[in-house]
Amino acid sequence: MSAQISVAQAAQPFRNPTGGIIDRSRPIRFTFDGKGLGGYAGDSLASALLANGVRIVGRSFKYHRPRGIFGAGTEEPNALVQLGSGARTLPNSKATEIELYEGLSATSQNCWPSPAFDLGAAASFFAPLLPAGFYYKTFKWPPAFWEKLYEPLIRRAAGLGRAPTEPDPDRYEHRSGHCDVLVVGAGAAGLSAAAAAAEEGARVILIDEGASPGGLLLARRGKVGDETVSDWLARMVARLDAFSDLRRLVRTTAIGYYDHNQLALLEKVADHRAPQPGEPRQRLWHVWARRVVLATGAHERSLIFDNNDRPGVMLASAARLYANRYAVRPGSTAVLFTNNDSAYEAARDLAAAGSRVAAVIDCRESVPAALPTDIERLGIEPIAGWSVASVMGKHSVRAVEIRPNESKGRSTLRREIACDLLCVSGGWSPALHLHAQTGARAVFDPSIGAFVPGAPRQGERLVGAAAGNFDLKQTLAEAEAAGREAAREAKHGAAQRTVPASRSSQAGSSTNGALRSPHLQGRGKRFIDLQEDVTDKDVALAVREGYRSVEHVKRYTTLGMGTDQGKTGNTLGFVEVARALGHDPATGGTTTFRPPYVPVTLGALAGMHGGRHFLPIRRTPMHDWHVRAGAEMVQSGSWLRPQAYRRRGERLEDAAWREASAVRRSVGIVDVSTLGKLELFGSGAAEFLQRIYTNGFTSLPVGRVRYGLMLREDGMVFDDGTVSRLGEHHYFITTTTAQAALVRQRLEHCRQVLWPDLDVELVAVADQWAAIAVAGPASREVLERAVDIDVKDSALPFMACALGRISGVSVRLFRISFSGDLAYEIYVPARRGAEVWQHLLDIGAPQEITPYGLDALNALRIEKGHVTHAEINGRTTAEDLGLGRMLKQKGDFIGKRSLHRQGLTRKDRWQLVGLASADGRTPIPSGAKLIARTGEAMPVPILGEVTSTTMSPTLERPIALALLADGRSRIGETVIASSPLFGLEVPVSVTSPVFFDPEGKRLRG
Amino acid sequence: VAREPALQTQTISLRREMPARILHLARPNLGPPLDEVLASFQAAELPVPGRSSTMVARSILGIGHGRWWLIEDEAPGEEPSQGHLSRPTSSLSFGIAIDIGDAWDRFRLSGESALDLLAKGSRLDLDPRVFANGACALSSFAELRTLLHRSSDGAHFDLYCGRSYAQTLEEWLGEAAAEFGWEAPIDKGGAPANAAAQ
Repeated sequence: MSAQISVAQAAQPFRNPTGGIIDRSRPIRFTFDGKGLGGYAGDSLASALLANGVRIVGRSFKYHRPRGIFGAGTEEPNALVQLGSGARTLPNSKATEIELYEGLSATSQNCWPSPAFDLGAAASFFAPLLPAGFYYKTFKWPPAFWEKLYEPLIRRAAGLGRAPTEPDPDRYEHRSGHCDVLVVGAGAAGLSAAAAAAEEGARVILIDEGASPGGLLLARRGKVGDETVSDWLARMVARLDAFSDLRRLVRTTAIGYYDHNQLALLEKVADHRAPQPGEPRQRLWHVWARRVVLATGAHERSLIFDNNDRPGVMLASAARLYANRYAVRPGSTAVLFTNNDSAYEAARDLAAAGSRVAAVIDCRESVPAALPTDIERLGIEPIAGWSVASVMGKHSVRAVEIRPNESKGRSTLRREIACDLLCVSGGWSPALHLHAQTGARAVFDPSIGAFVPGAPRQGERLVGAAAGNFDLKQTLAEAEAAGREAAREAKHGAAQRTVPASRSSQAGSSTNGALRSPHLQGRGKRFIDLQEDVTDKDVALAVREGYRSVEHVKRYTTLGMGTDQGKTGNTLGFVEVARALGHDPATGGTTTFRPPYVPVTLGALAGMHGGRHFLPIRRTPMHDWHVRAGAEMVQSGSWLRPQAYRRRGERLEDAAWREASAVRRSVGIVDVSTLGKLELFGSGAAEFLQRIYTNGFTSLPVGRVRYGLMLREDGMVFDDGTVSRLGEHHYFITTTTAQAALVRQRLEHCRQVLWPDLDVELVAVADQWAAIAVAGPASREVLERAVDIDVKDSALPFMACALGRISGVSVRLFRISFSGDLAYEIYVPARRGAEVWQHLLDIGAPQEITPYGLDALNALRIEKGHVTHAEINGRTTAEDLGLGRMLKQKGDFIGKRSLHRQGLTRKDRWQLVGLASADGRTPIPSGAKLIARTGEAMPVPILGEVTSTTMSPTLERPIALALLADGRSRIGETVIASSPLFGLEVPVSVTSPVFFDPEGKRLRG
Repeated sequence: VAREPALQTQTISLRREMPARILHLARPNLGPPLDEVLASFQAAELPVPGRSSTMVARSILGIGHGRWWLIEDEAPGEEPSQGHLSRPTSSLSFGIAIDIGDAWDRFRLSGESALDLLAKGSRLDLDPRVFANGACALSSFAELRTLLHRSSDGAHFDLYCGRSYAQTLEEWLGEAAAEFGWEAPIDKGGAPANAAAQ
């Protein structure tokens, strides 16, 4: 092991021999751009790269400029890498957020052949031609080039990283959580708030995006009260873990804050290791909290000066974190450029970590006296009233040029300071993203040059840096109070205060608000948004071109539209817009904060709803029989249904033809368990049905069945089905398979909301009954032997129902027909369904009873002109479908009032008709449009469309149902069924939609 | 990437079963006929919505305002009545009642990870202080319409789902439970596992 450690150390020239919160006993090997490197457990990929001296990690999005590591967490705009390979590869992963693990493999993005030498950098030669919104102004001519040249080129150039092309092999899942108090962020404020809330007896969930708690404390060397940071953290964690009602989630980020205090959390369960069996890689939590404490910290801002994107330019807080947490020197010689106090602490820590700190350039004219004195003792030169004008060096920082502020570029007074690390601190922006996602406003605070949280809209409060408080002592006190208040409110329902926490004196954060160097010489680019390559010139151009709102500037320039969502640059952009317009940043405000706070994998969003769980599948009670019988199962809505029972060597269409013919010739049996079924009880049931259906039900006698039609409120047909009166106040309703759930919802709504005065009880029983249709001229013959009651026409006429027993099982028997032939529907308690099905098959063997599937069912109903949701498509009225006789004149029903609207009574409405192939052979293409004649000039007038098509087993020719303008008066005409998709134009004769037994003798027989 | 040691212990138990009968009761008429029904369930009164009353192999669940499920785990010895054709509903003198026992399958979940497993599919707050022993709720689970019942002693949860969805839910539960050491296919019992024990 010691040999391994020494090897790892030797390969990490920027790693200090001691210090940091890393496990030096666990060396880790990983690769970056194919090169083997070493790190330690506890490292991030970014810290390990820095330890190994890797400074260029990729190229920028637009100009292909070399970029290095800029931040240390979610705010990172530059260090995006392609993680892993094959099906598990993940593009745009922030190196600063990736925990180092054994075997990690990452590659740089947006460069070829390497980040150091990238041919794509040629784009920078055309930079003057590529200002913000260039694609709106160029590539317009010649038009022919747009589709074949410009668009492919732009699409190829756009985007970062490569999405995997193989299916994701990992598991993801969702999970819900509930608590009294959710604390987001486990830094000093979050830990204190969580502990206080738990002490009040609240159920607490504490989350943090890191693997270990501490937040910004992990970047500090100082003390918390009288304790070292590590001792304080250890004590707090032990304190928290003692509460049985407190759940700590690590590697978990709150990505969205929604109504009713619901938050979405992304937990990276096994991104840093292989998942255990059954364990998901990531878990998306939906948490409902009575109160929320946001201790989300703050993001340090950048500053605007020439070439402020060069590798080696880094946030001061990030450099400090790398030094203190990871024992890494991010540079050998550092210069700091700041507009606030916090960079002085970074300078001290970098010096302590072994970097030579040449100077702290403070653009403020007046600096608290203690700060320069303090660093001078460490040999660091304090330079106040000066600013960085430019960074020298292309692939790395070689030196910085600084100038005194008052010269404003006119003076020749300048200095160059050699360095390889420039730490910048443009002040701190509270991470108020979640707060703002609730709809709460952000308010500009000039004392810290940032937007701070306004009045909360939900049961939440912000503490610590998230509230704009940067004083640790005060933060701890306020966080504890916030935790206690939140717990008490959650438990006792006290009112949420509606004003944000007061902000402290901003110790450590006082700034002059200046975010740009006064010495902008125009020689180099000055970036506001590093990830999107948005410069101050882009923002100025947008304003010159008339964009005033920050929302519009954002969309024109792409400011803040990268995967980092502008965490380090947005405030700079808002201030620049305000400056260009000559108003206060408070006037312009911020862009809208939207979820997610960080990028989320599609897998996490999908959870388990992928693969076989993409859609819940329903199976009928006879499902296993169908499968055993070799049925071709097909998904119909959420049901698995037999399409046809294909025999060996038989084509699917031949099987359907054989099955349908068997029904017409003798008898068939089909599983119709998928129909919706409802039981309706009560003295008000008949009146309820009167209002629901277009036709009347008060006269329906017990033991009889009636076909019913429901309309939507707008007069269009909603659904059809049967209603059977089983008792004085007891009805049995069937609906179509497609609309079963919606019909149930509607009827419950009517019962509970519209007509609560009616004495009605509704019970959904779709799964209670297996439903079997036995159809064909020999069906009675089969039923007579199967059932213990008289099924002759005299005893059980068409549209009658009765109770009986089949094979000892009580069944409901209905003399109804969807096939148009003599038929019965038998409803059997579901657990006995397969048994009765088999019995019917056995008893029907002499008649060669034939099981038939969906295709045959469809062919039979098309022959009979029965409609399904191919025709009840939401745009057809009862009159359109030839069902106008079912609209009762007396009494009201849903949709009646809409029927007289002008649009629903026009003569040229599309009406249901039949179509027969003119030559008797050519199939009529499904979905084809109906036109008057071939060869018409564009645009061709569309007369209608084919809705259902089949080969008629009775007529032995292709037939179809269609909706045709003024169709009923066109019967006898010939039109063209045109299907450009298949390149087909089939002449068809317009007929009655009823091809089979128009007098109804067969079904009444 | 090194794989960490697998969970050695199974912390979840799953079983699929169909209760012998579920009687959906609505709008009960107060009086001796209802008292008789309640007596057969050894219950003094119908529970309020969201609560249940449980005795040996029998439960009454208040599934909503004016609606209850009367569940019998043991076969009553006769085939349930399948309708009331030509018989006035008023003859059901204790109220509107209909057997829906064939419509629902039941999954019984127990073990220390039962709550964690349920949290993967349910949005309900199942903390015992909120969803106490004997609580029940009609709610979605894994995007399915379900009824969840916590047993009176808190030892297990019964998750009822529509029979047509049962196979789908079985597959879902098996996959979700793998994290808790569940590997075997879910047992499909006729009678509930602990009916006799109760």
